[in-house]
Amino acid sequence: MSLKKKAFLPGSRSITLILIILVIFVCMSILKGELFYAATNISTIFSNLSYDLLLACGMTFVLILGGIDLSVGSVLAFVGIVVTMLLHDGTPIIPSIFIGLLVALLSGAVNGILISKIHIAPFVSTLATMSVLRGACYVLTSGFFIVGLPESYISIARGSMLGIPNKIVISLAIMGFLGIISTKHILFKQMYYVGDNPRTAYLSGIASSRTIILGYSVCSLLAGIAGILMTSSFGMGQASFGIGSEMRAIAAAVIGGASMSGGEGNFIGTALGVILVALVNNVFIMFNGSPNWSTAISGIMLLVAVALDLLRTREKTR
Amino acid sequence: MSLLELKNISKSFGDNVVLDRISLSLEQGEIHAIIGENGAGKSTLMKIIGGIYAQDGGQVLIDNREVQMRTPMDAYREGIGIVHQELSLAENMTVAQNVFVNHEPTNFLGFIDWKQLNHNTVQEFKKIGIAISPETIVKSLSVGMQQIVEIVKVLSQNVRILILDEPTSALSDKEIRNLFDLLSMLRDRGTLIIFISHKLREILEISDRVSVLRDGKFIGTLDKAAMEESKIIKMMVGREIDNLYPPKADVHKNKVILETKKLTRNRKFYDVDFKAYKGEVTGIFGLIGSGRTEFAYSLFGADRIDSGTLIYEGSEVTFSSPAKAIEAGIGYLSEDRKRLGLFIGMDVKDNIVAATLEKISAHLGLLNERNAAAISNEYIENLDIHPRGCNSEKTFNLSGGNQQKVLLSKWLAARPHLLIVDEPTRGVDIGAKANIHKILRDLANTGIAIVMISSDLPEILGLSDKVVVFHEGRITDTLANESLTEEMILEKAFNKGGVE
Repeated sequence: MSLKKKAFLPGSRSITLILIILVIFVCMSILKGELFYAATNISTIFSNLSYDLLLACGMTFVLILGGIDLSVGSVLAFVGIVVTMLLHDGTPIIPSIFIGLLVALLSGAVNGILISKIHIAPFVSTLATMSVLRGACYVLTSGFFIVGLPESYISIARGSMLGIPNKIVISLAIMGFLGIISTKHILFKQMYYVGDNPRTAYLSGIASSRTIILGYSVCSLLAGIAGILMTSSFGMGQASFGIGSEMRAIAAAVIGGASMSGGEGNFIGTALGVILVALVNNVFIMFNGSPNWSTAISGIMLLVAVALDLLRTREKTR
Repeated sequence: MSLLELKNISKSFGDNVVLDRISLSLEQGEIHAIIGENGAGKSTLMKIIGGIYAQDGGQVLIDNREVQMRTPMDAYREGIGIVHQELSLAENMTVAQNVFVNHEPTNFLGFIDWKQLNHNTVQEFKKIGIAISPETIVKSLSVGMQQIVEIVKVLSQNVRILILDEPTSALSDKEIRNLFDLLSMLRDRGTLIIFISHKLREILEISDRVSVLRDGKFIGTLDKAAMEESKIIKMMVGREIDNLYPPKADVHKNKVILETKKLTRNRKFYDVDFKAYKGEVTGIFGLIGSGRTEFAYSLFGADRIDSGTLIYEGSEVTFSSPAKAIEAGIGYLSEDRKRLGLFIGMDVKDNIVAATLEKISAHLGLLNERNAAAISNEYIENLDIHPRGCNSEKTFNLSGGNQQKVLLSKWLAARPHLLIVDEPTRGVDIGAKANIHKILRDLANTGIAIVMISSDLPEILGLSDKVVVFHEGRITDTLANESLTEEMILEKAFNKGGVE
């Protein structure tokens, strides 16, 4: 096997994804015409993009660590509720957001500690957190929406820069920053080591617990930011925000090249994965006419992505 | 007509040719020993007969009929049972459950008939003269006893061809005697027994014929009448051993870098008084379960110490984690390259700098990629790691020998004062082996203390300045490596006539 050929491989997945996305775009434009490429439809496709980018970005870190975080959708909702309730009660914007992000960080840290120190399986720990936080949302709101938010808060997500909505700019900026730092900074680089082989990492002097706690904290923090953007964009807090979004985040990250067995993941791939998941969802809706399919489609995409990943890694260890 | 015939069996792992056109005929009712040095290909050949590996080329014939075995279950169906060197028991289950795993006696409803199961188990053990409670949990047995359970498990399948891979390495004399009686009895009943061992004396005693492998090639078969110790050794080695190992340390300055006093970890090792010297290679030899690796783990901070003291570079220390030990200048190269040594899915460069990440990162913890690549290139060059320029090659793409060099580079890059290497040449071809020996000796010559754990006796003799022998968690002797022989070390390892 030549080295030259290998060197091209990491990028080849991204190129494949771009091609697939382009082909779907072209085919749909031909098949459905204006119905597809109308501005309203395109903006529908990308409406969830900013939140999904943040969630999938966080999920990529957790997957690199060899873990999984099912609680991101609930963290998104819970932080949204906390921030909007604070604002509703007249707390200034900066402290409200600060407290919201602190709550997100705390939730991730708790998961990280449970997983790294007590060795609870990530799936179990984050499933429990997911339930606890979602439950807390219902308890706090009794099912009501939280409205009456200050205009300046709403403009965070709704404003735009050079015609691009703020929420997309913010997501891309955060993602770009983390994407660069993930291979450059020792704390993030160590996630790859811990994910590839936790025992070896420990025997190589890498602080694996600290790394795991950091990973889940970052993932949760990004979900919190998504929660703030979502409440700002919708102008309200709602207990059912983000239901099922963990599914799309995992699917997008795995499609983008993160491995369920840890040690792998890259952020350009994840971004393309997010776009592809959104696009495929839209395609099915176009042909079915019903957005109710969305959850099922995400599930199918997750299954396909994970199955392909397992086939790929099995090849690898042979 | 032979019961089992191998024709031109070949097998490679990557570029490493492990078996090169091996042909061998084995008869019904014989005990046929296969002998060869570590890495000669014995275990791989047995794994092919046992349906664990598929051969790259050649045929396996049973009763003149070619058989294709893809899984161990296929091999069982052909009447082939294999007892591995490593135990493969369900530790938390009973002896009976282990022996009859997958073919438990059942009642008419299909439920397991526990009474019958336990009764059958007792019967199976009676055949080899051992009384055991079938409901004993396997975990609570000694390693030797677990080995017996493993053998009984295979025997209970009524195999026609029984393969034993180093079955006696963890057994006491009495257990070996029982095993040999049993093997003779099975042979007389017509079973073909393939017996792999390092121990010449055992082979001369028990086997009817012996076949020798060397570097993956078949060298020859001797009949009982022609079996002579010197003849077999000549066939096994086939080259001058003396030139293989680098010269020992010229001067022993006796500068102690690490010393333990009555170091104990309960149930692993006891009262260990050990010294490692700067500029020397201290060999640690012991059989499986003798506590040598566990001892290294505790020195390295990966396992706790229950009592005793550890003195390193002149002061008493306790390392709460490997990170602390690495900081103090200790490295530990694991015996288990894939599970505990390498980040197999990451590239070579990432592996080489893994234990020195903090050192090569600049302010704010930003990694200096160029520095990392430079360090990695330096070791790829110095240790002659192939393929050249494999910085960004995934480590699983490298051959075993090169992977081992990457692992060694990881610890060299951390610039240790004391390097513990555990089976540094396991699963490595002859060329890379000599290379690694030279590297270790060169390191010692620069003043680094090397502690080498190995179960490869020629390696221990060839490289160590001193040899420390472990037996059941205790040091039985510390020997200066002058006119030492394999027999002398083995005797200490078995603690013959020693005091507990």
